[in-house]
Amino acid sequence: MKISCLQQNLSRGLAIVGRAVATRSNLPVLQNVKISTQNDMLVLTGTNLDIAITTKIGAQIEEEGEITIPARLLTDFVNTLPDDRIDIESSADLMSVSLKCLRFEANINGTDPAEFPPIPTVDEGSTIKIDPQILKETVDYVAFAAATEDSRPVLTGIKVEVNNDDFTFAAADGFRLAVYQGKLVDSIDDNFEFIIPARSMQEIGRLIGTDSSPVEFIVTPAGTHALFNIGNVEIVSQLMPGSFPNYRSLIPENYKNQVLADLSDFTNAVKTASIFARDGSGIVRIQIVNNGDSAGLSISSRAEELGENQGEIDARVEGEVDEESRIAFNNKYLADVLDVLGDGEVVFEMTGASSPGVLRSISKPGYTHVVMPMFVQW
Amino acid sequence: MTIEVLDPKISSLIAAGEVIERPVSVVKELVENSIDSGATIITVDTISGGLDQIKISDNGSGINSTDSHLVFERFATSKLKTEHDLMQISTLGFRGEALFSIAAVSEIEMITKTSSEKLATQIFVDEGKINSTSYTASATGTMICVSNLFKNFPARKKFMKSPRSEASKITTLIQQFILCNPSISFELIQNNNRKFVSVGNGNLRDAVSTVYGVDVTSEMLEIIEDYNDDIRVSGLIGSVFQHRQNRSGISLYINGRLVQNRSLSFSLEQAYHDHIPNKKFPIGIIKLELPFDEIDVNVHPAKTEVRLINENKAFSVLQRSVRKTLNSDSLVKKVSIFQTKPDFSIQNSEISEFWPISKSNIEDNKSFDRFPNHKEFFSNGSSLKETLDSLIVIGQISDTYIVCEGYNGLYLIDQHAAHERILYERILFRNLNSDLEIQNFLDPFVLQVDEIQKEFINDNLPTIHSLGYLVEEFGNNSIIIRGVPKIISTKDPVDSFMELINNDSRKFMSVPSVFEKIVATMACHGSVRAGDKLEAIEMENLIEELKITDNPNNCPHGRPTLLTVDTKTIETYFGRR
Repeated sequence: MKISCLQQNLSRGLAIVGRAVATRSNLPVLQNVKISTQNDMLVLTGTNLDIAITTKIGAQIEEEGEITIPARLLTDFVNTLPDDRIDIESSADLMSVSLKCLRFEANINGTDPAEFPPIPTVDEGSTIKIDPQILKETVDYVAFAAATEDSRPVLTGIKVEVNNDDFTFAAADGFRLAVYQGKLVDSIDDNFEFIIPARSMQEIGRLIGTDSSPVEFIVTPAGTHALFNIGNVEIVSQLMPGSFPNYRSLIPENYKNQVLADLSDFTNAVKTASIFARDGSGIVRIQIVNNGDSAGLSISSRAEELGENQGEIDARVEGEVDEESRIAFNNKYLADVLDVLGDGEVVFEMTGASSPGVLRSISKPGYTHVVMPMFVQW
Repeated sequence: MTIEVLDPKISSLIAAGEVIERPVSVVKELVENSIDSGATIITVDTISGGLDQIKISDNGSGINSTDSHLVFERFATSKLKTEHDLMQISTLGFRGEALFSIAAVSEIEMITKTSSEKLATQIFVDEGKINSTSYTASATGTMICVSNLFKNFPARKKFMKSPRSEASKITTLIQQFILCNPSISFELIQNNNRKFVSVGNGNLRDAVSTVYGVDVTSEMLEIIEDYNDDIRVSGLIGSVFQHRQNRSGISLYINGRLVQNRSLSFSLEQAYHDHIPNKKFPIGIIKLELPFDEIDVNVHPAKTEVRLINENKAFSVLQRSVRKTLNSDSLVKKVSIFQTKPDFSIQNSEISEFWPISKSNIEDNKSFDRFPNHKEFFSNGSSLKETLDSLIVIGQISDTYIVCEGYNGLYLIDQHAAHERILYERILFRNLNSDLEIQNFLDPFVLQVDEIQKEFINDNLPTIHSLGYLVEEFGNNSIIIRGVPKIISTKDPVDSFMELINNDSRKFMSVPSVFEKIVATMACHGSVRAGDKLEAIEMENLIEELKITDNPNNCPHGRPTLLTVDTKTIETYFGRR
């Protein structure tokens, strides 16, 4: 193999595939990046077996070839090089690469590319197109609600449903549920569903830049893998087996009170309450108030030994308000959802202290977030 | 198919197979007979792990020459006369099967003499038949020599392990007998080598030292009895620094009989809970005395399994007594600077005039005390609380250990471990005693349970609720969990519930270990680290708060918080004693 490329391009390519390179693995080759050539392009591949990322960068190919070399070492070295041309050369039998850039050079020992796990190919199935910025937002709004513990593995994934021209992403960790519904760029004839690891989806969200061309993805007919195309980057992720809970039945159909509040007011009040909740048990209590001339939410928290606080925000309140119009939440769950909603107006719906609370955003009509309350002594 | 009554020869072999499994069972039956006969010296002599020969001699009451031929008959015993006696069994044997069974599968020579007879009776038995009876000279007592075990039982013989492994089973058995009978002197000879001999002076600590060695034994604690009308607990238990990887160090005796009882050994483990590291097991020689009519030993011919009529009571009496014993101990690990005392006392006694210690004192020290008074040796005679009360902070070393002067010596406190303990108990207390905080599930879990689990849940429902599990019955054999304590909600909440209802002994544990683990981690993160510089006032406060914890001696992970070098050790080192 004998090629030349620009430092800037190689550095950017390595940063992209580096996301998939395993940091710790009992299979050492997974800590390597595979370098190969294809149609006048330099192809970089990294995988940790759950997810594989491939990207192509422009290069001058004098002699084709392939090799795998330690990703971390290569990336760190390339990043320190001056922004100039890098000549890469390897001899097929020696399993090492020499890199030259101006007056810097290095020899890095690699391994046989045959040891590198084959990246699953996904070439059959319907192609689905989603606007990149909408997909990125969907991931941001949904992925955080997925479980991080493995006690119910299926909950560490995101349920994706595609139906004619709609798509739905849902994630739940047993205590909260986030659902985002949006439109596809082109409608499809099929409808299908799958569960993808939330971590893969988060990587995909990160790789979406400011590009506006739609993200394309294909799911294998057997439902084992999905391939995402984002510009020059290809991501292949494993899909998860198992059945996701029927989340639609978990979204309450009715409510007793509906509250419309300013998001930044609500977020700030919860942040204030969280200061006290931090040292105590982490519980934020919400009481709906409506006494004729002023209506809103009273948000309070207390720490057993330290004290307590209370704040009020204005809100439009619908439904009959009484003593029982109160609910307590784990402050983390509340803060997480308010954080992603950003600004604008938030709709908060509740029925009682033991029924789930629902949060929606006025500006994102497709989004629904359900949080289970805490049982506390009032 | 015709049904026939078994030939007596075959039926006796079947019965023997049940009682006599391997050489060690012969030793067990014969030694128990010796103990029942009131012997104070018992010698066990085996060759090739008992496969070739087992010889047991004692100085017990012996057997009358007129009765002596009867002992090899089935169901012949001197220990049981009426049906009523079966309810009041105080002897180790009673079924009248042992000698009969041994005789059925081996060759036996027996020499026995009672104190009233002049001559001893000598009997040779082969495969259950008496071959010859004669008179000979011997001391009072009984000697039984069993050879060619399983000679007519080739199938069983094939299952024997190597002589070495059979011998080690016998060693373990005799050790158990020693622990159980401190007033009997046991001698074990294997392949003509004397393995050990116990003193037989009635002192349990001496008996234990024959088995575990003097070093281990001197640190062990005598159980302080938690009085109860009819259950008595005594014995020696290991200090919190003596633990093992498995339960092999737990010996349990009920009315002088070595028994296996999971529930009682679990009771001991529970008593040590959070005194010793996780997944380690305590050691202890526990003797329980119960009214004879409250236990049933007649479960299996080997009698190692017993049923207790009032198991729960025994469980709690044992746990309370052990807990009490542990709490009364200062539980501070003492540092020993020397392996052996330096030999100052004799040669240098003339210099002693210049020392502030009188000559006579030194003379006294010469008398070697095999077991120094336990309290003095290990715990300075004061409880841990008193010890902590006496501490005066001197300073900090390595920004990690607090150095204190205290009752009878120098003390080192691991600041991180101590603070961890304080926070751990505080957080646990807050979560168990203040307002309940329960995180509800979005999608409640339905859990299949069996009848036993269901009954257990129903019996303990208030406790389960008070921990913060919202559990309800849900149809026939399932329950529904609607919420879990907030503190464990992000871990594996359902597993912690299963742990709660699934412990072996069906005794309710106060807190599931997942719960404790999380609290321990929280405590660990919140506490001062090794390497944090502390001001005097902070150190004093740390000790002040450590004092009010339940278990000041360990951090929640089981590491010790305190170490002491006592004045005596320091004085010895500097040659003042």
